[in-house]
This record gives sequence, C-alpha cells and structure tokens, in this order.
Amino acid sequence: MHNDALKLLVTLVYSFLVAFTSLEYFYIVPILVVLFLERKQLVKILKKVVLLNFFIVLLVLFVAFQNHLMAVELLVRINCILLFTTALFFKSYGYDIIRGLDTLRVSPIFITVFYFTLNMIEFLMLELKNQKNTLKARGFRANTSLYSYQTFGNLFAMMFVKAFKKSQELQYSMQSRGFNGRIYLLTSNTVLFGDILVCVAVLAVVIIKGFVV
Amino acid sequence: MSCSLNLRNITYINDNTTIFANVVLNLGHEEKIAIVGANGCGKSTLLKIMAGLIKPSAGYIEVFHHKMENLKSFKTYRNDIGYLPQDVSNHFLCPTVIEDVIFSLRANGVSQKEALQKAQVLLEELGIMHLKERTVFELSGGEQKIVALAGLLILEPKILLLDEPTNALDRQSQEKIIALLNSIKKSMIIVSHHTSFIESLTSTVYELKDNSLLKIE
Repeated sequence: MHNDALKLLVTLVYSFLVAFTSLEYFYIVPILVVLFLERKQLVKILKKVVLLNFFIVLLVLFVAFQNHLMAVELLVRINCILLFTTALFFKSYGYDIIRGLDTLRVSPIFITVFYFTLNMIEFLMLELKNQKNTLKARGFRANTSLYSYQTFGNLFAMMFVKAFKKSQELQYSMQSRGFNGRIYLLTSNTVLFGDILVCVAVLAVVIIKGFVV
Repeated sequence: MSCSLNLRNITYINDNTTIFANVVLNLGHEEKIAIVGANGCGKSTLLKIMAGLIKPSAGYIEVFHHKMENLKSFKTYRNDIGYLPQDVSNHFLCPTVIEDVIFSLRANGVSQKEALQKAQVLLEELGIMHLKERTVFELSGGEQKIVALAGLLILEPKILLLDEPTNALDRQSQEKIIALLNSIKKSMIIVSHHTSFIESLTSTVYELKDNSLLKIE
C-alpha cells in the first residue's frame, strides 16, 4: 500500500472489526491480500510476527488458566490484527504515519507533538547504540557487579542530559525560525492499485459481516 | 556605513563565572565579520545572544538602530536575522528537505503554492534540487548545512549569524559552503575555527580571548 491515510483508515476499521465482532473465516482475506502485495517481504514479516508472539503467548497463558477457548480466540484475534498491521506498515517509517494523520486532518498540534516525540525517540535510540558501542570498544563487560550497575546508571544519566540539551537547542531553532506551534507537511493523496485492492477487501469483509452473515 | 547590528557592552555571566564582559561590536551593512577563539570561550553563546535567544547579563543589542529591551523585542526582527546553529540536526523542524526549507515561509502565513515556487528557485540556485524529496536526517553533513542555509535564505534575512558553518565537513563541502557564502550579499557574523575559510570570506576578524572581544589587525 502507498497511501498513508488509507493505511491508517483500513487498519482502524479492520482492527475494530476483528476485535469487537465474532470471529469469521473470511477475516483472513484482507491479510492474504496485504501479504500478496508485500510478498517479497513475506519471510521478514512472518519473522517479526513470530517474535512478537513470544510476548503475546505469555499474556494468553494467563487467560488459558481460566478459559481455554477464550485464550485460543484471543490468540487468533491478536495475530490477525498484528499480521495485517505489520504487513501494511512494514515498509513505513514513523513519518509516514504522521503524513497519514495530516491527510486525515488530525489536529496539527497533535501531529507536531507526535513528530517531535518520534524525533526524540530516534535520537535517544541512536545515542543508546553509540553508548553501547563505546562501552564495547572500551572493554566493558556487563555482569551483576555494582560496577556494572553504576556504569549503566551513568549511561542513562548522560542520555538524560543529552536529551535535555537537544531539546534546548531545538527550542532555540524553533524561536529563531518563527515556529508557531505546528509543522507544515506536504502530503500527497496518490492512490495506487494496491491501495484500492486492500480497501475493497476490508470493505467487502465489513459488508459481508454486517449484512450477509 | 549604516549598521545592522550593534553590541553595546554585552556581558554574560554563567554560574558566577564571567564568560565575556563589555563586548562591543558593530556589524555594518553587507559586512562580513568572523569571530575566532579557543574552545569553550563563549563564541556560540555570544552568537545566541546576538540572535536574541539568550539574555545577556548586562549590556544591550541594537538591531537596525533599535534597542532590544528584552528577548521579546527580537520578535519584530526575527525574519531579518537568520541563525544557523553549530549542530544543524537541531535546526530541522520538518522531515523532508522541501518541507523544512519552506517551513519559515509557511509559518509566516505564505501560501503553500507561493512558498513552493520560491523554494524551487532557491534550491535550483543552491544546486540542491536533487535533494528536494530526501529526509533531512539521511543527508550528509555538507548537504545538511546547505539545506539548513536554504531554510534561512528563503526568508531573505538581512543578517546571517553562522555558528561553525564548515565544522566537520570535508574539503569539497567546505569549498562549496565558501563559494555559497561568498555569493551572498548580506551582513554576516561567522564563528569558525578554520582560518583559511575565514580569510577567504571575511574582511574583519575578532578574537574572543580573556573574556573580551578584540579586533585582530
């Protein structure tokens, strides 16, 4: 799929449908369509979903003690939504979601806050990666000693200070560039064949569930 | 010569330490001034004070002969002063090059169509049209500096305050920036370590040393 706004919309509709209605076999159709469109990434998508399932299985196990059937149903529902969403957003960056929200006319303040939060998360992730590499390069081996805990404590303190400095510099940029509380995005509304196909699949499932079954 | 920016006895004290005191500087119309100095001597802080981002401990600034009483006074002249930070990754406020370049225009109420037309011309002039759709954070250091400069130039500011514009750049990128800055006819204050860069660009050089700003003859 190409259109970010449509991606968000179909995800919302499909997730609500799968989460709040009784399970049907044809719920798999939109998943198959998206997987067909992203067939080149199929293995990677499945790997990601399997990885995420380790956490979900733990959750489902708690339910399984009370009701086996409900646990299985929960597992299927979660996996349907997860597989659909992962396949749909596999090639997306966080910024695509922001563009999607912008096209859907979500509040500019929300979009701006979302954008800068995403920026800061990216910055902190990069910082953490750099710090880890520095520790490795300097021969640090993590174990259960007090020294290790102190080192990690220092590392997080440093990250906190850097994040604070970064946000201060960003504030200066905002002031000097005339920031007025929102960012301005150029969003395109191009709709490709794949977008139509996924929308039709989801819409068909909604209609069948609502009017036929 | 009419002055664009005047520093009147600017003093900055941080945690009881005097960073610089009684700094006096006059930036003339289309004059290019360089400020050099050791690491941590307060060059960047001085530039931030000139940009109206930090309040000086004492003294005041005049922009086009208008006294700036406080940081809010700078608001009127925000579009006339372009400030480029040392780390340009903090300068970007939008994800793609074109979006970031037109940001200031859009924030000033210019329509998207008009802003885009203006940006197209500027990007063409700067030779970075091919970067238009790229994400700013994926660009090389040199490309980021030029894009950041484009973001400033789109507003046609009368004064440019550039903090280490050639910092961490390779020779080729440095030459590109020098050529670009040489072609711009604006009042400029440049903070830099590169002496060859300063010599090729500015007529007057000041050194921030022992808490004061001294002209190098």
